[in-house]
Amino acid sequence: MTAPLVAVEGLSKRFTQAQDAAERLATRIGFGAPPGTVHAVDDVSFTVAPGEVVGLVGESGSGKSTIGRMIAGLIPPSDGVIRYDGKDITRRSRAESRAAALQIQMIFQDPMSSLNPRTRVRDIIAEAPLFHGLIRASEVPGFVDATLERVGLDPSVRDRYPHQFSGGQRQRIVIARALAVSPRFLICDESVAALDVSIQAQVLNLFMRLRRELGLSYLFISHDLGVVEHISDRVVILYLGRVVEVAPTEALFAGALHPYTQALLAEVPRLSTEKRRFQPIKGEIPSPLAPPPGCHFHTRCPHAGPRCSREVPRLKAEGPRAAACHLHDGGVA
Amino acid sequence: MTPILDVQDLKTHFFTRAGVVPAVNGVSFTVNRGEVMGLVGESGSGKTVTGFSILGLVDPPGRIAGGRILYKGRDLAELREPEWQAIRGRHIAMIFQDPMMTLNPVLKISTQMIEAVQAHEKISREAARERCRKALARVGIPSPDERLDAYPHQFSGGMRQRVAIAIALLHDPDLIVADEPTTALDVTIQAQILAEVQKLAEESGTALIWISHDLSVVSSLADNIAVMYAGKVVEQGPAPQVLDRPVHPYTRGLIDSIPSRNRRGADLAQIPGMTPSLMHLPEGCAFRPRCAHATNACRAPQEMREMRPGQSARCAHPLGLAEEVPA
Repeated sequence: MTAPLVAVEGLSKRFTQAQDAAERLATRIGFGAPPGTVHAVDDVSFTVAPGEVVGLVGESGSGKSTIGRMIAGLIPPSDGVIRYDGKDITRRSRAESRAAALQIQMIFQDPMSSLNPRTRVRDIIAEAPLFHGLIRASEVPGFVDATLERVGLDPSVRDRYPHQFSGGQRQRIVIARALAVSPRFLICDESVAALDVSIQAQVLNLFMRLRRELGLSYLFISHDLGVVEHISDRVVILYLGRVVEVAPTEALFAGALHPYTQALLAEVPRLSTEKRRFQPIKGEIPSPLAPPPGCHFHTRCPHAGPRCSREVPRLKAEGPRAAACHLHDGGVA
Repeated sequence: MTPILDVQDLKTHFFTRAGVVPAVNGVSFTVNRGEVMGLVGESGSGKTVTGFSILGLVDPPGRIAGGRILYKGRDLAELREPEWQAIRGRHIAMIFQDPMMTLNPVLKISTQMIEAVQAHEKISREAARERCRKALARVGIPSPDERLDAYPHQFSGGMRQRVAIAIALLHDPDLIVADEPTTALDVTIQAQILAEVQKLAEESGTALIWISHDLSVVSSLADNIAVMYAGKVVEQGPAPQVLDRPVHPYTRGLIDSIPSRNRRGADLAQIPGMTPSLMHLPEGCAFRPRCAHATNACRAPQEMREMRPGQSARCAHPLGLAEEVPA
């Protein structure tokens, strides 16, 4: 097995509610309640091999975006280690880590809010490589044209502003900007969620072509199982900040081990020519401020037993698959 | 049987300083009692404006520029605002995409719902409250009595959408127009809402127009489907037929670009190009520049033609019909 390109080990992120002055005073003299803490990400570990596409799936509040932001270095983790090419890049101060950070680029959901509306396309693309000394000023025109062609845009658009493009074209500009610093790892956070179906297909095809041509690895964050099934080699399923299941895509869609994944797969709307009955799982995603004890999913799980509310299930690996469920680890009783 | 709603050649145009934008340009369809009609299209296809037109919610500079919207034989396009107010919410209701925009954040759910009941009926506050409680229970909100006195921010997204549906149901309307009501929700919550809606439509006989960009959601719910492109319905018919054997190349393209329909890892079938600007539509068929089958015949305006029993489309080169010609 090849060494992973990116590995996260025991990654956690806690957000603490800001206290007002009275609460701070109360805490200081020892009477206040401790501030509310959200375990947005709770002891998450997974790896991405070179050239691999890993899908990160979860509903709102599952911590999928927080994980992406921590790997991209946008927010520091509370605990755990992020390794890039075997090197610890969790503390970003060293020059070595910064070089690694350049090789990890992120693509967000809404291209309009990630592009400066007053900057021309050519400057959007050339700014970062110029700053980091990857190209010289004299090389800018040729570099911009080549990068635009790579993402399927006509080089003649280089002097336009972001508002002169459609949503799909803007997302291509965002991708071009990410590619401009020659990354090896792209984090796509719901990158196609805001696009129309026909445009979404174009952008997904672009991602796959770039993977073939440049040998890129992806962390593909999405709530859309159809998209993830199509593009990923492996899938990591999250529920309330914890990994509940990891499996190769084909094995996962052939039969999920964790009851949450099973429910999720059953409820994805699929194109069918006959009407179907929805058999939804009951209840809602619990508040991350006060998650249920034990297995976070036991409040909605049809198989839950007494052990599920007592003990946190551990992620138990079997070959390439892993699931965090007592059903597969000694029973729920 | 007269249909609940009969939309005939509806045209809703926006008269802007830059020119006239024909957002809806000749849309016709009918909805019968208890029927679910799926209105599918991409952004800018005019599906939402069609829904707004049916409820008389189009704001200036937009207005209905032509066509008829017959509700039980009565033309809604000619109504004045006071007449509208007697119909909207009582006979025809709407559910929007974002329930936070539907609900007033500073009023209790009970205040808002009772107001909606009393707007149309002379009824005591207590009786109205009881009706609201029943409506909340009907859409699956646990302990409706206590939840009535909560504020919208105390509900989760899925529960808020249930409240919005409960409000739409207060007067047992004949028709509900639902504009992307599950798009903002998580998959498991979306499935819960779809299950509720399916049950309600069957139990009460309410007709439903379900507007969505997502063919997969519509396919599991709708009896009939109308596919919109650039302000026109390009194909419509019974859902199984349209999804299984689409005749318009645009419908075919939409279905083929859904990831789960493709072989994993293979390139997705994609529709080249992008939706044209409504102010500079290509002559003839608006889909012509993106269509692999286009010929000179497509430069002429395309009329809706019946291609198979019940299934019609605007296309000069319909797909998959040649091999079906009886020998």
